[in-house]
Amino acid sequence: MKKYIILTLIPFMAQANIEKRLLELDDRLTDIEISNSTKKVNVGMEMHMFAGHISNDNANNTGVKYSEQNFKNNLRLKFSGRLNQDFQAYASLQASYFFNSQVQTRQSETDDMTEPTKGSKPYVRTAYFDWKLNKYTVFSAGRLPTTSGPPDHIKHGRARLGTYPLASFNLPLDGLSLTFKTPRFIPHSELSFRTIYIHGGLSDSQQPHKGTPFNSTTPTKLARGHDGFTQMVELENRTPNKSFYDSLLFIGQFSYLKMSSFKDFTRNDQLLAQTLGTVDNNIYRFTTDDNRLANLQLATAYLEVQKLLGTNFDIFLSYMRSWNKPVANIKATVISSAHAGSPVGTEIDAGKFISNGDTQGTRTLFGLRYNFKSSFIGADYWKTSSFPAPNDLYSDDFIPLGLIAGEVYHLYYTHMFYNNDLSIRVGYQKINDEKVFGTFSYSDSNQKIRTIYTALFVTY
Amino acid sequence: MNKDNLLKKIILTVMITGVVQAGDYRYFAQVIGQQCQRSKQLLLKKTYLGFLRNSQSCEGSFAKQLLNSCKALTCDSLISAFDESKSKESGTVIGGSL
Repeated sequence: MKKYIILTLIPFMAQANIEKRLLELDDRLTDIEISNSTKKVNVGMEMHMFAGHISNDNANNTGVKYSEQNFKNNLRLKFSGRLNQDFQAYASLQASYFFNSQVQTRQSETDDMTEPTKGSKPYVRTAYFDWKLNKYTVFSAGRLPTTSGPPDHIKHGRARLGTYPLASFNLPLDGLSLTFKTPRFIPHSELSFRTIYIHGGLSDSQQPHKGTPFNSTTPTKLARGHDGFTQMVELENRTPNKSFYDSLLFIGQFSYLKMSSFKDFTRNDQLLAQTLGTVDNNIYRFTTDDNRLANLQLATAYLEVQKLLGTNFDIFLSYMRSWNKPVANIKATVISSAHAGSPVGTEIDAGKFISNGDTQGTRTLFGLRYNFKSSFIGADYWKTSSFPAPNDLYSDDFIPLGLIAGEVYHLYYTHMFYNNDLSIRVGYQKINDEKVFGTFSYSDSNQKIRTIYTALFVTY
Repeated sequence: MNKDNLLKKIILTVMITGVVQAGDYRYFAQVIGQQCQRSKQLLLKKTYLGFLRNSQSCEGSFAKQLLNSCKALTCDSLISAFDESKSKESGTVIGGSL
């Protein structure tokens, strides 16, 4: 009898036990769901630190040889927020500085995004959102990830770090963008189109309803905003047949920029350095005679192939051609004279933007990388011709290469540590410049710059 | 499969979904899906979780299973897809979260 009672109760006892376990598991699941639902923002950090030695013979400039060690740090704080599957926002703050650059030298802060090495005060590098409008279309707006584009990621051993190919622009730009990813009709491929509109306002930031004169001597003529359109096409292919390659990325880009003239400003410049044969210590006021500075067009192609022909080689090739039509004449007036031959009030023709007449220019980047298990060795080559649009205004590296017209050779070895989140690179860079971009235009140059460096890149 | 095992799988899936929000699992799954359309979701998720611990190795049992189940995949392509999915969370490409 007792045996029958126990046998009858066992299923009920087991059921009670399972129900208790279910309640416990339900409780734990609820905790995880709450935790996931309340976690909206991810925070990350990158540090990119350089140590190296730079030498420059300054052959055709001051003639004073430069040879010194340098240390530089780029610190980047990254944030991403996911409101839901369709709306995400990204932001990053960056500080870039040479070690102890503000001891004695008193580096001043500027709001000029063409000077990324501003000191230890952080600034907004990106701040934008992606809003998925439907299955194929994303609308984005804000300060877009337009810096450190391909092939910048190659030497870091990372996935793509920016949108625009490095040969075209490397500048943090605010804008609006529409990305359309086509339904998949090419096997193993993603084909997308992206249109970007950029506007730069030059009105009085405190009283935007009033506008602002671009030139203090002609207060009736107001400054115009910049306008820029960019159209991109991207094809990413990952074929199952690895005998040709592992992955292929092609980017085609065309940009049309109407650049407005700057508001008049005052600064020192080396306009008379060659005439004087020494450093020009004059202070100038720069003005233009038209509120349109230049019209600029750029066409860029980028091709990257990983694991070429089944080997451990990755290669990239990028080509940019720019067409520049300068409009405004730039004038410099001496407002503080340091030289007897140029008294206060002397007017100097400072030319036009990039060049004095309509010009074209090209920039070609070629590189390859050979991959080992946790490291790789690579080489890059940059070459420019004529008057290319200056692009690398925003380099994290020691020397912004996009301001230099000439040739650059770069050899490096990178080793990856800790799940690829830390990389250390040693490299040698040889720069032979023919022209260098100053405030508005290129001037002849003949520098032989050599850099030996080590760089540490860590991401969290 | 008993209820405990079933619930453990549910918990694992919810946890992975949470981890996935930190990176971009969807991108990883999309890239692998291009090369291997029949790959199992749970196997992909467990492989992704394995890479979050060690992205330099395909020695994990789930990564091995995935590679065995799809000859179009290589260890390099898995690691490359994972690296790219990690960079997606930083918003490196305009409209890249599509």
